[in-house]
Amino acid sequence: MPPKKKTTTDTLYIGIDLGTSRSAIVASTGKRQWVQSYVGWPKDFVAKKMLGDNVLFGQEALDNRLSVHLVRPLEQGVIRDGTERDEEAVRELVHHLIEMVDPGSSQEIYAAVGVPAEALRVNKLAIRDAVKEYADRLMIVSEPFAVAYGQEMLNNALFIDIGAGTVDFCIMHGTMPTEEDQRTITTAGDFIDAQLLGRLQEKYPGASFSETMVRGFKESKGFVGSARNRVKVSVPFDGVTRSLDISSEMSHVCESVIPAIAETAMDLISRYEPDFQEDVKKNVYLAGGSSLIRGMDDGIADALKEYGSFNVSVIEDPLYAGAEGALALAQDMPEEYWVDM
Amino acid sequence: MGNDRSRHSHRQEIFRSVYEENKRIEDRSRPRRAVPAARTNVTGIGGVIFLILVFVLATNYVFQDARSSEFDIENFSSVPAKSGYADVGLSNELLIPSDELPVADDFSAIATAPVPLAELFHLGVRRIVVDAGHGGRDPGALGSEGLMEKDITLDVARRLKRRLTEFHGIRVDLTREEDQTLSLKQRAEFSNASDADLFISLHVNQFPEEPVYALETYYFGPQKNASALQLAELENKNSDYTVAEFNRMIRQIGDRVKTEESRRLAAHVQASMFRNSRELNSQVRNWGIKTAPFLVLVGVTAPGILCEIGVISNSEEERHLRTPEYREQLAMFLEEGILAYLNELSNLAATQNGVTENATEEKDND
Repeated sequence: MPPKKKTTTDTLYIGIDLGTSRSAIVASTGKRQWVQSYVGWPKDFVAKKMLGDNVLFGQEALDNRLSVHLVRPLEQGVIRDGTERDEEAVRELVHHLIEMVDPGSSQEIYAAVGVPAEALRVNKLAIRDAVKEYADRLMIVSEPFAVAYGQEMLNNALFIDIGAGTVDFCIMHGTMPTEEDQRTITTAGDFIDAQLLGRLQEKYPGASFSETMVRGFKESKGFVGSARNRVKVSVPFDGVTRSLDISSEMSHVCESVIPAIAETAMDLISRYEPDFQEDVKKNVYLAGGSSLIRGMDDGIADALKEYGSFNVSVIEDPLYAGAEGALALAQDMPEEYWVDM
Repeated sequence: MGNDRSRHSHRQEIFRSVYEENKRIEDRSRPRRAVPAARTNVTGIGGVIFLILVFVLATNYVFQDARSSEFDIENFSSVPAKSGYADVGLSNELLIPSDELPVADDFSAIATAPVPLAELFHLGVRRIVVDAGHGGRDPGALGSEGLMEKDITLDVARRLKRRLTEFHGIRVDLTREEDQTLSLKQRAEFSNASDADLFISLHVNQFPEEPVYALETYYFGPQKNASALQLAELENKNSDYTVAEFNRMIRQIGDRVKTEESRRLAAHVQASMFRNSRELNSQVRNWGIKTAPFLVLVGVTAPGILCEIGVISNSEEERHLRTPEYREQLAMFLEEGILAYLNELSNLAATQNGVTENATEEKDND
């Protein structure tokens, strides 16, 4: 039986999923919010006056990208070591997220933060420093582990978190995963976007595409396998908006990440005992924004079939799964461990 | 009921592990960083003066006399450097006294201390050539159980290529993809023809007379050390260079940009190799970074290092080297060092951009 969740009015438990593309927060009060992981500072005093704020976040920062220094602090899953602006962006982002769930002024904040596995490996201290300013108690865990914890799949399972900057793999075998239980590759959502942008620019040299635009195409119409409908998008083309059929390009780029994912998954699984391998094959879970690409689960299962029968499924509510898992961990964590964290 | 108990036990184990991991993170102190600290206070005219100062200091570095090029991390705290200062290429006030030199764990402070010439001239890294030492008819060093250096270097090189390419999108070319004989000249020519920005040659040491396990990294530059010369003599076999070519290449040792970048790369890679290897084996010794006239480093135009990633004559180490897991870890340690160097380059670029932007903004405000 899972431990009873702690909910006191003096303490606000929060779970944060600090992602490359999106960051989410869930509080013990039930409030949930997410924001795109962009932070923007006005470029000069004119921009500052126009925007009316010292710092913008998410879509607002993106919409005003010409007027701001735009930072996506966890690009490729890590804070660039020693980059003050990126560390500052993480601080601002965390502060913003916490403000979004309205903590009471007298409440103590107990925060569990899930970060990309690679960031945990490379930037442990920087992440901790960035967050601790806004939390009375703080713990940091790898994002795929937070997801696994939230799903209560602590044993015999492989979690594949297909994010924007990285794909994080995490094998659960009843204990806290170590570095050897985890892998990170960078052929993730951003890779798909870059491939799609390149292909479209090459095929339609007269059309105007941007990274933001193709990311939108992927998120709304991305697919793996056979298309139910043709993927048609409207694009400014030599000054005139035209409808283009990008089905084949979309299919190709979305599928392009699968071989590396399948290969890495098998490489990770094959390090364990044969019995355990078979159990894990039945419990492969996909999380992260790019897991929502239609048919991704079947595509990965198909790529893995030469190694046996795999059961691959997308977890429910992947946008909040990391934050929910981190919150569950925060609430379950015995008080004596919180005391000096 | 049994399942509940088992699950409860799993959870308790996990809570304890999360706690311990976070405590470990908290207990670690952050390394000092010299350059980024300067950024926040530099604005307006001050920023312009700072940039001029940077240029003057860097120019001074280009023309100053050669200093001691040996950098033995392990002995730093006990043996003062010849000049009393570490060779960081700045005026005396900015040099770090030898008794304050960092140990390997804090190596980034040294590596970030100078204003790097590559940054000053906006040189970037797009392509890395990794050279798997020896190969084909030349097995390199041999372990007592028959393991051959050429096989280890090739496997680690392939793993390093995969990691850098897949995880970080860096273009990596290997001098050899299989067990083939290549002269040092061919390796250098391959690197030069590839327009490599960095050259990393992998080797495995051997000391048959003593059961030592040590790590060391060499970089392009003039030699200072007799044992390094001996090693260079061994590694320079199969060079295929003529005397005239050799003399021409030796003149390039005065190439400051290449030397400086090679040294910084060597510092990061050695620090990562030693720090991580020490977690696996507390007996490992840190022999630091050194210079020696390895022809393969002299022949390449890119900044280059030669890493001795293990000691095959140490039987325990040979057993480790036989396992793919260990070789993957070595690749990971190398990757971490290379990334630390690349991150430093990009961080310094960001810092300089920040300085320029701040200066411009200040001017606008005026």
